[in-house]
Amino acid sequence: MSKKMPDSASLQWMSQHILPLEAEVRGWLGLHARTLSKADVDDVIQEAYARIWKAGIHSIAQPRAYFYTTIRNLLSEQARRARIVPMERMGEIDSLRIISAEPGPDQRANARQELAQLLAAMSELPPQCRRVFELRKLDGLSQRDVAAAMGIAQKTVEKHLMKALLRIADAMSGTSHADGRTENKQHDIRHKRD
Amino acid sequence: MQMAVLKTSNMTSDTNEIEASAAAWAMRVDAGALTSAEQSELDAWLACDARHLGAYIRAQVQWQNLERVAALASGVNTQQVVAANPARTIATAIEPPPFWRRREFVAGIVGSLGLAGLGWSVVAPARTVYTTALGEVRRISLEDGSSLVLNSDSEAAVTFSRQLRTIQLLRGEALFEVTRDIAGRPFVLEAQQWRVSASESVFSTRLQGARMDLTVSMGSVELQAQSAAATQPVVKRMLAAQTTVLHESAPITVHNIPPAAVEQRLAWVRGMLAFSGESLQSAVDEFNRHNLRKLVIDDPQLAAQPVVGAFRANDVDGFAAAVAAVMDVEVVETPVTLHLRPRAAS
Repeated sequence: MSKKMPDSASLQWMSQHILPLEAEVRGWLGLHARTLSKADVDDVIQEAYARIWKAGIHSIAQPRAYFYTTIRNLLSEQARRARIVPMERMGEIDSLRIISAEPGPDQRANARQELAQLLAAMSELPPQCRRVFELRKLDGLSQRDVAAAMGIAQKTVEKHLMKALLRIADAMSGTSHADGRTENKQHDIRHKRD
Repeated sequence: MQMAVLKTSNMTSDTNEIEASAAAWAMRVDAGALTSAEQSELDAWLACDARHLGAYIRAQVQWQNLERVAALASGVNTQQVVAANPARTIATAIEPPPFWRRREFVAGIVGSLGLAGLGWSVVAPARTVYTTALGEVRRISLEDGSSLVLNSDSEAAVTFSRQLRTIQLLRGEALFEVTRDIAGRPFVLEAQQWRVSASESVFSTRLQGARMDLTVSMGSVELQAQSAAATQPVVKRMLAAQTTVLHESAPITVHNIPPAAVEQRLAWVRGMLAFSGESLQSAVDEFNRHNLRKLVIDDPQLAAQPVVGAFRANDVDGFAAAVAAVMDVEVVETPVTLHLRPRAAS
């Protein structure tokens, strides 16, 4: 069986060193790579996670620099492959080089802030979804036990948790979908040609 | 196999499709061991697109992260807190007024921290001072996703408190790239007697003695000057491609400039200096702001000549050579200076 079940230690490393940087990276791309649509940003971040994972976390001495360098490499590769590239893209990629080499201030919310964010995000979930999440994550019941406790199907529990994960993780990382980034239709049309 | 190419987004929903699939798989795995059929399906899905693998890892990381944060809730009656408070006020429901300790991230706190362990100490928000050396351009990323770029020989102090994001420009020149704050805090730049409020925008300011230059590149800002004569502070709104020169209590006039001129003013951010007809003297002054080796012009007529072009800010020799070629000038070097003088008639 292939190693598709990441081990807890690696996930913990990434949740400590990579996940907290996402808001900063998205904010940066929002200002400096304005030709990228929200879908493009999601794509490049997903690919960056894959590369960081494949690189083997133990070989990464400077997570922040590595994250930015990976993004830059991905955008460069895409630009080389695409038939049409917005003119501004070269400058955007180039400007990724000036990212400060310093560690950067601690972006992570403190414990109290994080708890507040979690509870705020939970309060916006539909009631049954929230209850499922509470039982699973706060009370530590297995999915099966949650289903039994609430008298609902296991598949339903799974679906609720999926929705909870998407909504809560988004809320906590600041990638609010209701916020600002409008899809740039003009650039999307330019990218239609493969 | 179609690897990720910038693609047209057909999706009307906000949620990224791949992200949703990854979350679904992560929760399937969370339910219990996969059957071999399910495992094959997952392996195939992960293998066909780098984004699938990345999204899957990310979903697992987020789920793991929630494990840790959820542990902080032990001891808090979350149902009571959530039920009694709309989302926005939950922060105040579980926190002591009025300050919280910044940068207090405790690694590996799973299960070990009840609410009492978070502490109720009142600590003033930290103030961080950033300084650049001569010739150094430095980009600093701030905790809200904004950036501060400091030009050569400059200094700025950053104070992010619970209610406010404040930067004081103490010396020199800086570019501010301000993003919207998740926590909704306003952003303020303070420089001498002026205050600039911004939400999502990009603008630069430069201090030279009692004079301050302000240029807005993107978005809009609100400029506030405390005027000695008036009882109320003067407030002026500035939009993209607008600039102003502020001097003590002189009235504020805002000018529109072409986008190319904005780019020229911000060329230093990319390590360049750009000129479009300014005098050689002012170009030399700019180079001298960025370099230890100084340029000196030995002839007043030469000093008035216009300069056009973009140059690497740290390449004093390159600039001198370009001037020598275009303006028929000779360059005489001493250990720390380069003198520019008209080439002697032969």
